[in-house]
Amino acid sequence: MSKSFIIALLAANTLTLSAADRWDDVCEVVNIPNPTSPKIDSQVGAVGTLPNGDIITAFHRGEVMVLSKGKWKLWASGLHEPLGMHVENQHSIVVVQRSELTRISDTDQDGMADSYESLCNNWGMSGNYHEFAFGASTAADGDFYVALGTASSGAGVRKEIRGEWNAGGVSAEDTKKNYINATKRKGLQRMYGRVPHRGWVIKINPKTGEYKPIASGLRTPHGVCVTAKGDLYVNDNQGDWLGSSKLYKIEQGKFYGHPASLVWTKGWDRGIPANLKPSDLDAMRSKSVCFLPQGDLANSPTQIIELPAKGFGPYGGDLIMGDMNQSRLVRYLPEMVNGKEQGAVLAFMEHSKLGRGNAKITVGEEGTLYIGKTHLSWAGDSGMIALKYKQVAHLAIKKIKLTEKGFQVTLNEPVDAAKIGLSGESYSLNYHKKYGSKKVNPTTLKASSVKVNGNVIEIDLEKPPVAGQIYDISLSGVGSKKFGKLFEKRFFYTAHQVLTQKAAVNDEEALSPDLFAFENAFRRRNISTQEQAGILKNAGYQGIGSISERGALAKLKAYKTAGLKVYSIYAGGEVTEKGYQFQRQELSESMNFLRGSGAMIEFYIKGDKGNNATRQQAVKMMQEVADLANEKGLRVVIYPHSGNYVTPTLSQATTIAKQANRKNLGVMFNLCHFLKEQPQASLKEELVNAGDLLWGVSTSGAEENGKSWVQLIKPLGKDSYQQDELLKTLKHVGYKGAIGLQCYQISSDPKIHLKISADSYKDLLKSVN
Amino acid sequence: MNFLNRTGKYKQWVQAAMVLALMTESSFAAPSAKKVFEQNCMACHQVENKKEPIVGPSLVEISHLYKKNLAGFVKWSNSPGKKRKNAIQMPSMAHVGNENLEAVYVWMLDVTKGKKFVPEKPKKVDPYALNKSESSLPRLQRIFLSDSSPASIAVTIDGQHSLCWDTVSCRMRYVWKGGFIDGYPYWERNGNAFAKLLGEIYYRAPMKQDSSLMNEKFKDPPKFRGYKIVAGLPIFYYSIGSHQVSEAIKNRNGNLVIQVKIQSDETIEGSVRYPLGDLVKTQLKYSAGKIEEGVLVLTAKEAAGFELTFNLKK
Repeated sequence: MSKSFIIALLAANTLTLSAADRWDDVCEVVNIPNPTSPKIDSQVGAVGTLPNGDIITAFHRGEVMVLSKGKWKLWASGLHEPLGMHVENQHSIVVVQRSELTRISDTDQDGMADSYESLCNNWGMSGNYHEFAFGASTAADGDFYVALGTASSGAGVRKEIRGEWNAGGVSAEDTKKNYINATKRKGLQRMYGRVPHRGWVIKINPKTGEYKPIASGLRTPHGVCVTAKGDLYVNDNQGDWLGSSKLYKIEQGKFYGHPASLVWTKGWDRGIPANLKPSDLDAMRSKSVCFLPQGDLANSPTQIIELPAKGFGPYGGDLIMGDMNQSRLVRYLPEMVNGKEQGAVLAFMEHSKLGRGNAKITVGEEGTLYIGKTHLSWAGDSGMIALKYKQVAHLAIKKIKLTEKGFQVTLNEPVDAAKIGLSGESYSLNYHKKYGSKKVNPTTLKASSVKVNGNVIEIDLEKPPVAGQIYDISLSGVGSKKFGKLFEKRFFYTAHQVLTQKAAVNDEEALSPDLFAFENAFRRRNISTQEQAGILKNAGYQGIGSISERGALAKLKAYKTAGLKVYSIYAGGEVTEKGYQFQRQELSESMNFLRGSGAMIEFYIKGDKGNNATRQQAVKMMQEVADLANEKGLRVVIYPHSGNYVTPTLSQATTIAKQANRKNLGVMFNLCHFLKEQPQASLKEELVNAGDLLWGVSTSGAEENGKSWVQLIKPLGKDSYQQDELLKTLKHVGYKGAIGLQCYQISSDPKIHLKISADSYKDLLKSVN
Repeated sequence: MNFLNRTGKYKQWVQAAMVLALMTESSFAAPSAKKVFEQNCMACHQVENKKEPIVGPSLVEISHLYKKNLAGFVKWSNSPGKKRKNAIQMPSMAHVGNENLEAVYVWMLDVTKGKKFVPEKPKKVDPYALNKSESSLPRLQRIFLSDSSPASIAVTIDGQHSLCWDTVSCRMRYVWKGGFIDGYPYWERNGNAFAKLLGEIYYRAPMKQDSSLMNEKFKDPPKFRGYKIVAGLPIFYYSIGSHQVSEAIKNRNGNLVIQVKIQSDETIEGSVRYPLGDLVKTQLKYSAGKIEEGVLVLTAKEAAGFELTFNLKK
């Protein structure tokens, strides 16, 4: 054996040794002995790092102890289930207990706290065990964020409660009585929030002791974290209304989906929220930035922290969180898509000795996380560990970006252009009253191409990403000569938003949609088609549309004779769980007549239920309708109709349209239905979400906060709604279709109101352009 | 006969013994085994452990353990170990002889036939209960307490004399003697239980009341401000409107003392009333004021600083 060969062998060997193949190679777990004096239950409720580097820990039974040079020393005691901490200085911390936000100080600095100042104690407590209080992260203004968990039907409430009882529209006395010492699960909502402001994240002013409710829709929001940038992230545990655990980026005033908290919305008058239609709740909610898939990644996510820039190699600055049930931490990689944040989650520091119950995390000396464990009789553990990052270079995913066709994965080092493979599936989750969700329509993913460009892997999927899907993707064969193979190669991306090729934003180009009147402007009026044509032309309309399918053919012929352009007909079908039906014969005849005219088929979907089965039938029906229209060279738009179960909203219509996947199938936006169905939703979000499938729009004058059709359908200019917002948004998304004027049940003379609307429309268009 | 041991000798013997056991009571083997049991084992082992005291496990339990393990039974009997930590050590039964032990085994299976072994439920003991010296110290613990709001605090002045202080109505709710609390029912799980009070409540404040102190001008409900710890005991702070109130809990020779102070920029007009509960079992002393119809009535000046001393009536 030659000498050089041996050296080469040695070198190769060294390289192999230094390459990290698994988490055990890049981090280590050091067990911290439990306190012995006093000997306490070592379940950890909160952890912090003192300015001198000592670790301060609050335990399940209320002791607070300081870990200094490996030794525990009692510092405070007597707290009630502390579940969050903020270190103020060496001698003062702020702790969230079940009942209170408390500043605990050692004022004489003798090593034992002597002052327990109540900073806030007026959130509601029913005495139910599941009403945990989590936090406390500080806002830039010095206020504290605390997230209040909901009560569980595992038990009732106590005879004496703190705060007002809210029966959600039901007689307060009766309901509370039912909840006191209630037998498990009998007649109670699974999770409930009958005292203020359960299921909310609140912002506490420590000077006044008062709090401001910030956002609702939370269930068991364990992690509360304000980032260096000032963003507030909260995660929530899987359960009823949470198909899987989620991560939220909280915005003030938003509702995040768990309905129990809604009873504390100002002016709430809709009864018990969980009894509302899921589609109503769905329309009201804001979505998470990411799902944390149950079982596959996390079951009960815990504290969120932002890693410091230094000390954690490629992970510096990332948001991470723990989990109760799984022996791993979780890392979140955000991105902005269509102006909204969403992202991917991956396993993090999944050391073989990490164990479960990783509830509380604080950053200690450089590269070290101190993790406190708890179980509270559920899955978990107790005690503390130090998790040290060993500063071993290894390959890691830095960024995951959604593309039009798939994903772009950026690593911390250039990777070999070897044969990179992909496996995984996409699926969605149910939003419903039931606990958790099965994976809905799991579909195996296949790559159509995988390209490597330096440290970027470009993955094109055979089918482009679909909105509302979770993408569970594992890469294989990714490696670099320098850093070895990529071992954390599985990621879970939540694609609430997707990119479509034509979603280009265009604020420059003037908006110039044709204006047509809905046929219902003349309904029940004895006006001949000839006269109608005259009225519309004089008022400045380019034509008529939304012609009801019943007897459509005769009407179409008459309009043709009168020389009036037809923009659309209005047809519909009905779905059940088992099938669907629509007027094939009549519709087909109308389509034949309209062949090549450019007219659109506005199609609404009726049904008795809004579930997966009816949605599937709706998809099938729309495919058939679109195929039928395609034969005549016509396009179809799904017409969202308030009160319909399957497609009450534009976003639901968009989902069906995408699933039906037909080139001539798009969606229509109808202002009155939007205002009726989703008074809280963002118009812009809805329209942007529809992307380049938005081919039809109808509008009408509307009363701000109007509820009835009479209030929501008025002549343009005779209303209080900011009509220019719609036009501006249409301009923003580069809308190219026509606009129909909805006239349903406007009682005044069509000759007059159509003129008013058309004039008003011209002014609006001018102001927008 | 799959319960028999592998070794041929045992197998043969047991088969023979089983046949004999099935014969009448006057037959040879069965009374012999019974006799062996009575002479050597019965002092410590009963068939079903129904009688006290119990030294060793019942035959039902032993049958459950050795149902399919004759060899193990004989081995253990000759050279016993210990399964219960605090039990008395069983002596060796080597003197009985293997054949007799085997006979006892077969007889035992017969007498326990159809009797199901139900393991005793171990009594749950708090592994972190305070020791004697720790539990005689003054102590404060926030936990769910019965007959008070969910935001209540348990305080003991000496491990024997204790009170419940409610942070919602900002007042003492009841006093008890005989111990502090057992928080284990709450702590062992997730909080779906009250702490158990150790001892007997001898004084309860009136049930429906928003505050301990009443005055015609006290309109706002009290607001809890926190507490300080002095010598292990709390001074509670709260405000009623612009009035700052403190209630210091003290131990005076085993008596439980509440020192009330009101600090105020505003002059308090009229009397300050401190309604009292049933005093049948209570020895109450008060440093100022007079009791009128179950209410301690104080002048504004007296109310600025007074104390109440509680103890169980002898």
